[in-house]
Amino acid sequence: MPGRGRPLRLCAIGNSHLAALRSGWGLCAAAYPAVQATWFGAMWDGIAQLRRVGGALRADHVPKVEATLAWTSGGLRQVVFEDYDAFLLVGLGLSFTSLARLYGTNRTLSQSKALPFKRLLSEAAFEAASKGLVQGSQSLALAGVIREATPKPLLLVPDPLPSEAAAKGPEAALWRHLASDADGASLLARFAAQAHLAARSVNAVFIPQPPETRASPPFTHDRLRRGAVRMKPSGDTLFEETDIGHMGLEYGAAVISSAVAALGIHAS
Amino acid sequence: MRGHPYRGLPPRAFWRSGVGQQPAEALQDLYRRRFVIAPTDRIATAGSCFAQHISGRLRRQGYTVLDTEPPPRGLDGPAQARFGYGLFAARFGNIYTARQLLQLLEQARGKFRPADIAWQRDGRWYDALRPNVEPEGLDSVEEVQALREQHLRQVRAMIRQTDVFVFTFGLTEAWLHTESGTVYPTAPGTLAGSYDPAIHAFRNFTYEETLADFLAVRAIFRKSNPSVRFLLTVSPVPLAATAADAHVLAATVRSKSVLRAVAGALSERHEDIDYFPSYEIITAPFTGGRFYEEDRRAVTRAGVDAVMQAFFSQHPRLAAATDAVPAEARPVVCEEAMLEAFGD
Repeated sequence: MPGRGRPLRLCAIGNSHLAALRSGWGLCAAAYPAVQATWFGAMWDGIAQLRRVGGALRADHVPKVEATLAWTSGGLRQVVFEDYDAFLLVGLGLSFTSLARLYGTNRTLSQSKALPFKRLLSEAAFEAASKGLVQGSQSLALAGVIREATPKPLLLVPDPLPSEAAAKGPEAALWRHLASDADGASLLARFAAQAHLAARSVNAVFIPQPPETRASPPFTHDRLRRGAVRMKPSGDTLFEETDIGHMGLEYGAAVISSAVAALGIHAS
Repeated sequence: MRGHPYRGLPPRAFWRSGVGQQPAEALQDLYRRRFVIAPTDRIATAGSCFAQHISGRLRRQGYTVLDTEPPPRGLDGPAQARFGYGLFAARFGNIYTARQLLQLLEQARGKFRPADIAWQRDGRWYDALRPNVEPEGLDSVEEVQALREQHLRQVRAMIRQTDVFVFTFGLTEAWLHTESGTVYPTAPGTLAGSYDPAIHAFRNFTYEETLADFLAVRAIFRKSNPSVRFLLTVSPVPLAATAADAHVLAATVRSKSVLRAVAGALSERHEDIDYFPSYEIITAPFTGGRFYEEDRRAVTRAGVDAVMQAFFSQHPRLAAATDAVPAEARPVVCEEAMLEAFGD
């Protein structure tokens, strides 16, 4: 942890969802003078290429990922554990949407049959599958690697819930059903419980999506999509209007504030 | 110079050259395929625990292995096996006897109605015909029936889609529901349920019964697909326990001898049936039991390797083969071994 007068050095690692927090940090960093954040991002499964080499996470066998880490962090090609006081993992497949899609094709006897599905599962099999989606995420895998290397605070932030626009998108039937059926709330609770449990298994803390970003379950306020960007070396570019899974800087600011609060630091 | 009928026979026909001078791990020319399995042939596997090894290795070697009841996303390898996914062509668990297989297919076609299929243990319900696929049991009899109905739909799909059916004969001994003849894969009262001599009976199937049962199985498949072919093996895994009023060794030899004779007769009489001698590779006296674990029952990895090496010498590795997921990552699930836990 930081010494007297030295800011807390926060290392944030994530996939495309990192962009919202990084942009959001621009909005709220001034309120947190005691925090200094460094961002390491990579698209898709690039983060899965990180390997622990001694006291650092490196991707030197995958030059493309190494280059991405460098331009997102401002020139750093590796994550040196000693250089940070806390770690924040963003997105990386820790996603309610995965559980919703599991529900979309699989159902237990006690769950609603109003939405067509392919396969009936026992409660135990459904629970095991949903648990596997959380525990098999890149977020939990990377958390395990970091935890082996250092006992420093480790926070896990999930992918955002989809925007309200999901109810009009290609998976509208699923999202509308989850919005109107009691199964939606039940799935959200299941995801939160499993994410907390999985985080605890690696002595990490799960940071739920802040309430002020959430519309009626299971959505994120649609307005928070504004300014959602893809990180690119030539400069960030806006996501397509049809994208319902990425949020902008206002959302990012709320999430990073919530994460920093979990470290005991509040806005000044 | 006088000739004799053994003159000119190949080395495989003589013990000295066919076995005595060969390494036990890799007997040359032991198996000659009866038919080619094409990359596009859909292979369905079923049978006793040993069949799980064959299924996994075939998949890794790039063959098209049918899975009509695939696992949901999120279940990793060990969890899949625990819930009976990915072990066979459908989620039917181990099928030890030809009668059990026949009844499954007949039930899927609506021609057989099993009795007493929901067994209870500690307040939970189990499908008596596949008690291991839901290790934590189910909430109700209705749930057992609903999941079984879904399973039977996938068995029907398997019958329709299969090009090559690989079956490993496991046992001749079984426990039945006396009145209906329903054959269970486990004895009532072991994994679940309770044994009632007034309802349940022991049966040790004969050569004639096993042969007739498999011919009936063949007829069912051929009705859907006249060009379907069969590959038979006999499990080398000895009985965990016998109820035949005999020493378990004698009971094992009786059971395996019947199964081997049936498999042999089927392949000798029908061009569409091949026999693969995995049983011989593991159990032959010259191996000195080296292919068994310390319990003298479970087959070692080296044993499985030797078997599959012989198999793939005739059915070669395909272009799509992958070593990404080792077969050993998925545990073999074997209800019958549970008998050891109840043996005392």
